[in-house]
Amino acid sequence: MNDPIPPQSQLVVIGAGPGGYSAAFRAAELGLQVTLIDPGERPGGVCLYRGCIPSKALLHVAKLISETEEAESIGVRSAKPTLEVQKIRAWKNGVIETLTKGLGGKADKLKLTTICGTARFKDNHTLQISTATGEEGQLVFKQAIIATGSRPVLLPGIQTGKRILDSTGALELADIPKTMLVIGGGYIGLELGSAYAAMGTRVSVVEMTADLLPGCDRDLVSVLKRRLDKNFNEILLNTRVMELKEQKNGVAVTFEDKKGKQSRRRFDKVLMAIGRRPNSEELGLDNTSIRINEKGFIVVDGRQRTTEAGIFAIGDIAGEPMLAHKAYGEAHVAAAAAAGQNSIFDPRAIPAVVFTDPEVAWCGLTETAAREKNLKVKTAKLSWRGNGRALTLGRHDGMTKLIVDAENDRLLGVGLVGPGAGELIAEAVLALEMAATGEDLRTVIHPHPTLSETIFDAAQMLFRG
Amino acid sequence: MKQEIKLPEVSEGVRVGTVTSLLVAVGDQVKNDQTLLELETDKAVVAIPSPLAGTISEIHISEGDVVEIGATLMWLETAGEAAETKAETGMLPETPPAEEPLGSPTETETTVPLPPPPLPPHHPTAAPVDLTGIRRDDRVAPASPTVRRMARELGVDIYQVQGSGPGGRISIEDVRAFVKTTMQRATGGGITPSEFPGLHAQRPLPDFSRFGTSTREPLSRIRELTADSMSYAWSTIPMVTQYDKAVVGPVEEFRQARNNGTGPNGKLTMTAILIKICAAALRVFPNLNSALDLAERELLLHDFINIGVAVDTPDGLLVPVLRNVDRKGIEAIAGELNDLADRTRRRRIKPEELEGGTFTISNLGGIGGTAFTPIVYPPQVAILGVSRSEMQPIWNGTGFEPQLVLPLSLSYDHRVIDGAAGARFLRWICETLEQPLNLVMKN
Repeated sequence: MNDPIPPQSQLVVIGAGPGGYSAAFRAAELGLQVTLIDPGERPGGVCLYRGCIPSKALLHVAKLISETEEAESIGVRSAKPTLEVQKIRAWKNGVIETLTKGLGGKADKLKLTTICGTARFKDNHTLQISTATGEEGQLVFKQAIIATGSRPVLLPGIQTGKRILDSTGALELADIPKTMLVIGGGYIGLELGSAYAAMGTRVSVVEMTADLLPGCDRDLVSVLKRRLDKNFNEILLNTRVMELKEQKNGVAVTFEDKKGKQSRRRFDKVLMAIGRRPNSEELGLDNTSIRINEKGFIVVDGRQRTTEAGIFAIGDIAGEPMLAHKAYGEAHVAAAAAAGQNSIFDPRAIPAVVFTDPEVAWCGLTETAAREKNLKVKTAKLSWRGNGRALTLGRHDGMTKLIVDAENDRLLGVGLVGPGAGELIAEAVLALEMAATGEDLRTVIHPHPTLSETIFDAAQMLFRG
Repeated sequence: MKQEIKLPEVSEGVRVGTVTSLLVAVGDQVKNDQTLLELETDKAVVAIPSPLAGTISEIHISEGDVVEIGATLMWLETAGEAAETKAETGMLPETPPAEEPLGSPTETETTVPLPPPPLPPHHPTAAPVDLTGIRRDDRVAPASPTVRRMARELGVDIYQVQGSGPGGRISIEDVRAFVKTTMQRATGGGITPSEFPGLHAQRPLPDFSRFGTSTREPLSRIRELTADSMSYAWSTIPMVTQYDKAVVGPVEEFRQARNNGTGPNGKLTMTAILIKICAAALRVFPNLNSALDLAERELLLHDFINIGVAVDTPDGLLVPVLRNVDRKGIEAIAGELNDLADRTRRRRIKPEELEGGTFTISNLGGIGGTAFTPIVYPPQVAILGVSRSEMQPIWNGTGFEPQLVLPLSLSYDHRVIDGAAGARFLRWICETLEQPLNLVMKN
């Protein structure tokens, strides 16, 4: 990303995360002349540099460690693994480099103009650009796609430092602390907490609400929680963090439980994972008629168009759920719309995956939502205890849940928990998009012995009695 | 009940905001979700909606005030129980999620500009695809992405397509069938959809130049639509016309006496009186206030009575509709009719004022004639024609008496109405013109 600032561009994409780079690639494939702007050295954004990819690398390390430990119970004994933090970090960074280089290569191949820098709207057709090398310039565009993503939210008055980390800091893997407090029981906190716990840190999780993973069905969460209770030092629910004080050899934390009782504890490090917020403040949106809502998300329509003609917004900045694969979908819609095609972002399901061990994944309607909306549904819940593949993996914690319309057997939602759930959910997404029924799922031949048979078996349960 | 409105959480980390504009006043009726005020925080200007419908009874803030989250903004007087469940929480509901498309194209298209000729339906224009309804999340249309894409490209709202597959799944064939039946409905089952759907059966014209010169004149839009509608009616409805006449001397005397004392807008016309009588007659003979649905093998009997009146304009015939005339007095009908007819002649009528008729009156009495056969205006099933009243000798049993007689003709759809029913209906109208007490005998 080091081209000079061109005077004008047919389409400019601001931000080169998953949304931005895929929109730029797609638009270029559709014949538009595209400029891609990002402060990063290469395309990738949070997903590759500070999110999905590095966290999965660390979780892979965690998996190797826990599998080695579990192997003992089935008769495979090896020495307790020792960790070379530096080497792990280098490997993780190598993965990132391979992937971002691949993206950079694709950008070159598609002849994108790539600028390393930041952009601000001067008006609805002009961007003020500052490059990383200090160059300033203006770019006149016909159309623009905003894909500047989001960043971690911190508790008010708290800044990150050596001992207080956000997800970005935690992924850098500076060291493996003895104790760590994870603030926030959402997917980011649980994934990173799991990785550190496996590497030997005594992890405590504190969550303000009554349970982990809000938005996910409780029966799925409870399967995960059973294992997390073992792996984590403690999980404090209904507990607020009142104060954080960075000290010489740790962070002093004041908690307050539901009854208002306060207690003080000290941790080597604190990871704040209480949510993310859209990066909409620094874009000069006031100089356009683009509207943002009270949460800072840019308001868009079904074609990802903002309230300013010719400017689109995609990914985290365009609203929840803040997930890379949602951004991919929106990117293709916006790129096609920019190229004059009749495209609409209208998915039937956006899968959510939590890459803990076991993984939790769901898509479509949740059972909780079905109950809230008073929909007539039938559910089938199948424990993985009877699945051959799960048992041969040395695991029996898992559950597959199907939610179908009670009237016409149509699949409305799927929830999974268990090792590999994140891969299995893809079948459920396809089924939902194709408007499949329970009958379809139980008729399709699933390979044996695999975890995917739990979907097949659960579908059979819908037809009993 | 009285309900306190507090400033809800507007954004994470925001504790206070400044009231930049107050959009309601004490005594205002507000709807649920109606914006009460705009609040400027350090992040954005946020519209604060009303959590309930009701009347503002007290306002505790004014523009420029800095207000804290949770502070009392105003008090609302609510009525009814529906609001109470929400009110119990005491806090505002969450503002809608970001995904809800705002500023969508439809918002700007709800007002209808008046000047262009008002047109009845049958007029498929290329309206932009409505994108607002796309994210209906709880019950989605069961169709695969390929099928949805095809529907989108054809401009079909996938939510209107009935799926024939398991669980109501919509296939490509279902979308095709939907397009086909929709087109058939739009073109009256025509073989080739054309711009003149009703005229598709026309044979080629002979070469008139052999006989002399002719000039070509474009059809006005009204003429086009009239041609379409009339050919459709004539070729699909088996019609019968029934003639009758009524002695209207006393009614006419009353009418003229009344008009001597009123201005032009309060002018009472025979048509206004006939509208009221027809409305009463349609209550007695509900089958004439109906529409035929052959596909469903059903007759739709309307609970409402909306009577259209044919108005002659320089560009052609238009039929503005008076709504719910059975619930209006003759005086109100007369006023409304005068206004509608006047605006129709001046082409200041709104398209929706030409819709929804269940019966029509065509009065040519002002011009003359002794009788004519009006054509039923589908999907209505009957139309009343009115000719000029004149003095006629009427046999009273012992001799001829000069009486003012109004000739009436009723054309009706013989598929729905039998001859006897048509004759009885028209007779009822004539008898009521002669003895208006009939109007109040039944209700």
